This record gives sequence, C-alpha cells and structure tokens, in this order.
Amino acid sequence: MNNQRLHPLKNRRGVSHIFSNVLILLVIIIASSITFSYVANYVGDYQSGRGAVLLQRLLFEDVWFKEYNKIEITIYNYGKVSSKVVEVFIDNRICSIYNIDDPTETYVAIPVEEHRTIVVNFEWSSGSAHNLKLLTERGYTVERDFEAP
Amino acid sequence: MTLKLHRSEKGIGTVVASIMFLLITILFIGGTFLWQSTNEAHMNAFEKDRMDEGLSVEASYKYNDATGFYDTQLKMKNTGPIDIQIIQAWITDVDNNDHQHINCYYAIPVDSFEDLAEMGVLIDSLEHPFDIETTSYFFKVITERGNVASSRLMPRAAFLSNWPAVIVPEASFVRRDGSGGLIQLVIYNRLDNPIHLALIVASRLEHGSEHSELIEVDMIVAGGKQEVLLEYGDEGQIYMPGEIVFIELADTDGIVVSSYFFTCQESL
Repeated sequence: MNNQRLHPLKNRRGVSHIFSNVLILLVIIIASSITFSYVANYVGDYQSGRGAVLLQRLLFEDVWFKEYNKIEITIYNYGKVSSKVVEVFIDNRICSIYNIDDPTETYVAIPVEEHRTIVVNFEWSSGSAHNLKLLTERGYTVERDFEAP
Repeated sequence: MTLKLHRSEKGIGTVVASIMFLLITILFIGGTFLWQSTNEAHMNAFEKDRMDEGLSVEASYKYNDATGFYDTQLKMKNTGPIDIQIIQAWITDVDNNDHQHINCYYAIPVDSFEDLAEMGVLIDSLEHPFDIETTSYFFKVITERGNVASSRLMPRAAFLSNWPAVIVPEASFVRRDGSGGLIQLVIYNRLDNPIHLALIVASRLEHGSEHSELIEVDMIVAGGKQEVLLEYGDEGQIYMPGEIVFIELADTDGIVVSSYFFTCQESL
C-alpha cells in the first residue's frame, strides 16, 4: 500500500500496455486500409487504364477527303474495351476533333463493336498520301497512310 | 507450461494478420499478372482468328432477262477456315467523291457465300444517280473482327472488255466541230497498276487514211479515269459526220492498250 503511494504510476502499467496495443492496432488497421485501398485502386486503374491498352483495337473503316479541307474518318472498335480517341494527327500535325454525335466534346468515345465518325480540318492535297494517326486516352495508337482523291 | 503457452500466443494475431495482409497483397499483384497474361493469350487467339479470316468480295453486273437491264450485285464469299460475321457495307462513288454506308449483318459460314441484299439501299444512298455506264464505284465490307474486303465496280464497258485501258463509249465521241474535228475520249484503267498513254492513232476506215498523234496524258492510276480532248482546226484532221473512225491507244512502250470504233457525229 505504501509502495503504491510511493510509486503511483506503477499501477497504471497495465492501462498503458493495453492503450499502446490498441494504438498500434489502430495504426496497423489504418496503414493496412490505406495500403489495401491504394493497391486495389492501382490494380483497378491499371486494369481499366494502361493494362487495358492490350485489349484496344481500332480500325480505319473509311476515310473521306471532303471539300473545304475536311476529312471524315469513320472508326470501328473491334477490341474488347471501349476506346476514347483524344487526338488525331495528320502528317504528324495535331488536328482539332469534331465529334459528329456530340459537338461539345473534344474527344470521341467508341464503345466495343461500334462505329464513330470524326471530322477534322486539314488542308489535304489531291493525289497525295497523308498519314493519319489516332491516339486514345490509354495511349494506344493506330496509323495508316491514305491517298487523297 | 500452460502459462508459457499463453505468453507465446500473444504475438500470433499480429503475425497471422501480417501474413494475411501479405497474402492479400500478393493475391492482388498475382491476380493482376494473371489477368494480364490471360488477356494476352485471349488477344493472341483473337488476332490469330482475325488473320485467318478469308473473305473475297466481288462486285459485278448481271444481265436481267426479265428487265433487259444489268443488275449490280455484290458477292461475299468466305474463303477462310472460320465463320465470318459481316457488320457494315460501304459504297464509294469514285468519280463524284461520295462515301455512303449501311449496317448489315451476315453470318457467312466456311465455304459459303452471300449476296448483299441491301445493294439497292446502298446504291440509293448515294448523292448522285447510280450510273453503270460511265462511273466507277468501290465497294467494301467490314467484318466483326475488324477486317476489310473490297471490290471495284468498273463502268460496264470496262467490265465487258478485255483491253487494259477501256474507252468508255457513253462518255466519248468523235465529232465534226465547225470546219474542224473534235475527239473526246474518257479512258478507264482496268489494271491494278498505272497506265501511261503516249500515242493515239485515229484511222478513217472509209478513206484508208491514218492519223496518229503523240498525246500527253497524265498517268492513269489503277481503277482511275482520264479524259483526253483533241481539237483539230481547218488544216487538221476533219472527219465527216457518219464516217467510221477507228481509235487505238498505245502506251509508252508502243503497245496497243485500247481500241474502239466511233461513228463521227454531227457538229453541234
């Protein structure tokens, strides 16, 4: 009893031990949760993003060199995931995209096994071959040369 | 002993949790690798199927006994080892630069063929009237796996001719022009490679005279057309209306690549 009075902290050893265990447990749970959510997000992002590049396939279905320096490009998505065309390059120059279905958008989303048409402004010359390249959001590219009529 | 055991179990929960945590993380990473390799295998198999697809498309004319006109048809034949699904058909009016398409669905089993039933709809979608006599068309169909098969439809005269270059009679003439003469030729290249014309020989069969002239014609691309216009003044070659003029065309090597009999037309 006297000892307890002389050393009042001695009795609190058990409380401190439980408290520290709970604290460590909490830290571990929080750290684990953060790590799990990071890994889960990373895996999810990878599978739907860069990892899915492998599943992307786009075909230049038709390229129509039209009057007033317009080129109408019809694309078919024969891949296993939807694609979003964010840039069109013609002869290595970036061309602004006009989405026929939704003129407010500056990209063209193409669901699987669907066709979409992109209109770009480009000063094409008759009889010349022009190199067309599409770039998707995931970084997939497809390119081909087309001869203007 | 019991006490010791209790003491030693104190850290087991943490160890188990750590192992579980590690396992789950490994499972995530392993799952991703598995997913990746499964996708790779799946896409490799898909690409192989795509490469294996064999589809031949042939656009042609077929004489219709009932109507007395030529019908246009597009025959699609599966020449590969796997079934094919057609999803889209396109027509291009080469001369008027017009592209139109329709959605169509044809499952073509191995070694079988289909005629495009929507040919009329496809042709009617063109901005300019369909003209089999003078205009060139290009047809193509798209498969579900992303392959394209195509066929040219040349003007009817070219389709029925065996010459490498064909004078399209409906768009060509020999005409008396005032006190001179005029020859207009529209020439279609039937070959799959360019033709370079260099010489025109016009023979007046009834007079027994022959007139040849070197001409400058731009190279005619495969499946392309070129117009040649030759005008003669008083001092030049004068054709009489009604007389037969035999036109021959030769390439740069002097090889005759086309010929046609014209009846000289009246002056306009």
